[in-house]
Amino acid sequence: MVGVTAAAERRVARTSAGATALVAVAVAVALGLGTGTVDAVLIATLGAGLVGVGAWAFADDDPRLAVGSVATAAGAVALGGGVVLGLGDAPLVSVAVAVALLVVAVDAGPGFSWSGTREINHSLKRSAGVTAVAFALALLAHQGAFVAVATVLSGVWIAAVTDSALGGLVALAVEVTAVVLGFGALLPVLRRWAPVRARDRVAALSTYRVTPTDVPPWVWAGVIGGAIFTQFAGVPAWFAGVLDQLAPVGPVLATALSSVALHLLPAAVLCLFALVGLVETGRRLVVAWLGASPPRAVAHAGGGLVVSAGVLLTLAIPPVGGAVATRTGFGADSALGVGAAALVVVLVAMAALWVTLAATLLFSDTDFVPENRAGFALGGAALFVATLAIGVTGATAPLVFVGVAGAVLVVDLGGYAAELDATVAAGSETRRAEVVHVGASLLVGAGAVCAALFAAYVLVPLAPRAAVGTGPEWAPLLALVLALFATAAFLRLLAVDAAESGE
Amino acid sequence: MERRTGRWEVGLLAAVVTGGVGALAGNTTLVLAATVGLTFAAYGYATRPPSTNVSVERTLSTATADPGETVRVSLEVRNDGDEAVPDLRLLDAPPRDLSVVEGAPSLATSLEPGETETAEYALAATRGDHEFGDPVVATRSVDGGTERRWTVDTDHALTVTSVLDSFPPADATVDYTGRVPTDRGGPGVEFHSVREYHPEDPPNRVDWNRFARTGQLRTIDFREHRAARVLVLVDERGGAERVREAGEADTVELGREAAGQIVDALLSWNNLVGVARMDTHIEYLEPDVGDAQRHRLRELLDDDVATPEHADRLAVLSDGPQKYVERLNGRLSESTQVVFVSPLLDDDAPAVAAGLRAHGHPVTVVTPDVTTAETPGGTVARIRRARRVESVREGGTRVVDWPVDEPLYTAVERAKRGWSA
Repeated sequence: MVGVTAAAERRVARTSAGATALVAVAVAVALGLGTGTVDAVLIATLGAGLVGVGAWAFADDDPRLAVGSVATAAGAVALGGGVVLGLGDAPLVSVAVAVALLVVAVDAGPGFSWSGTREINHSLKRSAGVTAVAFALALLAHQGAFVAVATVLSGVWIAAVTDSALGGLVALAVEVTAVVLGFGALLPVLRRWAPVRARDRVAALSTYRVTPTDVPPWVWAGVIGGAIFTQFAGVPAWFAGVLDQLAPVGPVLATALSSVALHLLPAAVLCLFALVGLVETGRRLVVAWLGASPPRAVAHAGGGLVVSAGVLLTLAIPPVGGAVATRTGFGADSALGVGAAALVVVLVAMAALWVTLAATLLFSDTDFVPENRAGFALGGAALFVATLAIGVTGATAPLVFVGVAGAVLVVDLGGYAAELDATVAAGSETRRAEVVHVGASLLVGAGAVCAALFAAYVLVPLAPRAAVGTGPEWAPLLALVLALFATAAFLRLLAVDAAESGE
Repeated sequence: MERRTGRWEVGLLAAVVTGGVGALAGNTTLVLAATVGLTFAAYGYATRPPSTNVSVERTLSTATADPGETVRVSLEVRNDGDEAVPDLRLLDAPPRDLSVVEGAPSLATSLEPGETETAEYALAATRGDHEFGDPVVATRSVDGGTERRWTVDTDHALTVTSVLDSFPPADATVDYTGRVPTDRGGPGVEFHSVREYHPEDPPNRVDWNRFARTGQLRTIDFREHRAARVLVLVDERGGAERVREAGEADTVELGREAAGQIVDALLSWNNLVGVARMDTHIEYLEPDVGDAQRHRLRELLDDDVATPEHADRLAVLSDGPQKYVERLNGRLSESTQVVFVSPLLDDDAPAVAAGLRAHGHPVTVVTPDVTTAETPGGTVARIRRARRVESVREGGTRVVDWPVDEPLYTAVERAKRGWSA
């Protein structure tokens, strides 16, 4: 066989692959109509299509990583939304149809392969990371964590300052020490942030840099001792008495030490230092997260960024956020809470997408299906399961027959496409053979449905009914099973006979 | 070979499962849905086996091509039977070492009786003899359930080579009649000069018109054509064994091929030609003429290890370029000119050329270019080689810079224009 190199060029039999996808969508829509979940099926179809587009973008010779990432993440959201929408009416059908559409879409595109799926995995991992961070921030904001932390810190600080003159003095000592040490610690950061021309001037400030080891021990002892003494009830009072005896300076000093105004400047500087420290920490985390190839990392994370921002911004629109919050029971003022919950759904959808793709890939490595047909085989099987599910729950005969025929057609047409891809070289002309096979298979499928309908609506009503009580109840069931077994054995015999004849 | 693909067993499986589940659940609809699966399964056995009555014909745009030339291949398949072939797959087997640059060497189609279809593709020719494999044909029944596959015997080969018609030696000649024009007058066809008559001059060179006009005897001299004594020196040192891309000929192979073509061209013009292969030692064959010499030279150029019977093995005691020059100069007569075939991938090669020239031997350097600009290292090597070519040229040595994607004769023709300018 002729080797084919480029992954994106692997798909030669595009006519039959496209026909397979169309049949899968048609069957899915039919099942949706039958179960009253057509809106969910249509959304899932959109999601599967987006994932297929993403797979193409990743498999291209010149991969469009950002496009692939956004399409994959958006597809995951749509697929998850479709499943969630259909869970109430027909849970099994919703899941099976979503899985079928997904795997058929990927197989009708570039197909499943370890190398081809690697990019999708990277994208889902990066996007999920971004979404998880967005979820955490939204949840913390929703819970008021940022405000609570600020409130607690400022409350402790004000209490320490205003409690007593000694407390104010110790707080001032702590603030000054923290400012001096913080300046020393952040000086390298500030130098790195400064424009190139100003770096030398910033570096010159290192003359004033103080490290914890530079601080004399008696300062540490004084600060720590003062902090401890403030905890004893008598010491602050004794200190206040001492200041009172130093009138008129003492009382003024006591008032100044206990007032917030004296501490505002060092507190503001410390807040600024904390902000710088937070930003620098964030920068380092981002650099570590970006890894060796920042453009690739950002492109892979594009889906998570777009989806997270899209969800949060959409829910931030008052009418939309309010409506969703009210409908989901979060309350009209909980748009951030709804956003956090929505991001959890997005994360779950991404995880489910990853699991489905990985399972299909593993399935393709088994002996149950030829290596390059796993998606189509699994898609056909999922549609078949969905059809069985609605059949058991009493769906109409035409719907069941169409579902079974569609499932078989997905396996056949998809298998044909995959087989053709593996046989001929990239760029080969195959359309005419494909049209013949697809047309014949569709005709046979239509004929099969007609035959089943004929049996259901003509032969069964005409069949003579046995009188009730003329035989055992299990007799018809046994007869049916035996008939099926006989048919299967007959067909198997035909196959064995053909093989042994050496044809 | 015929085989059943078993693609419709899925119909049987669907029938058994739907029927079984329907029976267990007491669901008539599901039981009847088995009809759908059974219909598909029956379809797989109801269709006729595919026809094998097809013929295949491969056509090449040329059986011999120059390196780098695009060779078009057409593979025509015809349905010679009376019934349609619903699914026919044709896979050609182009030579493994040639890459398909256009089209595809396969197709899948369906054919009506008497109908033909063609797969067309193009190959990028690289040096060597390339055998095509036998195309594979597979026909299938309309349901795809039965496949017949066989190979079609074909006998196609593509020879990619180039032939050098002439290689002009430098002006230095010897006293043998040849085809190198000289500045000396004598017998020949091209007018050179008129001189005083000598009694031994043949009558057919006397200027009888002048004698009739003036009564004085004068003799016409024509431009003499002499033979050249040429040593083709092939640089096969370890450092010269470079290859541009995996699978392509390395510089030693290219050098030997260039030497072979030059030897043929020079011998066909009655020159005395010898060959020396320069490696850790020198395999040397004295210049001579004739078919026997052509055979000996071929033997030396084709032989990889042993020293052929007529060649001498000259030991080179150290690696320096001067040692090569001294060793060779000891064997070369004064009038011998040298065609030095070297990739010029190190600084010793230009030194050898300059040394031979310094000893009075006109030197022509033929240098296959195997450098590539696709990697940083390759770019550096290319720049260095270009500088060596330039320095050799500036030293007054004739240079044939040979991009190996094109035939040698093209490079020689291009270089000749520069020499005459």
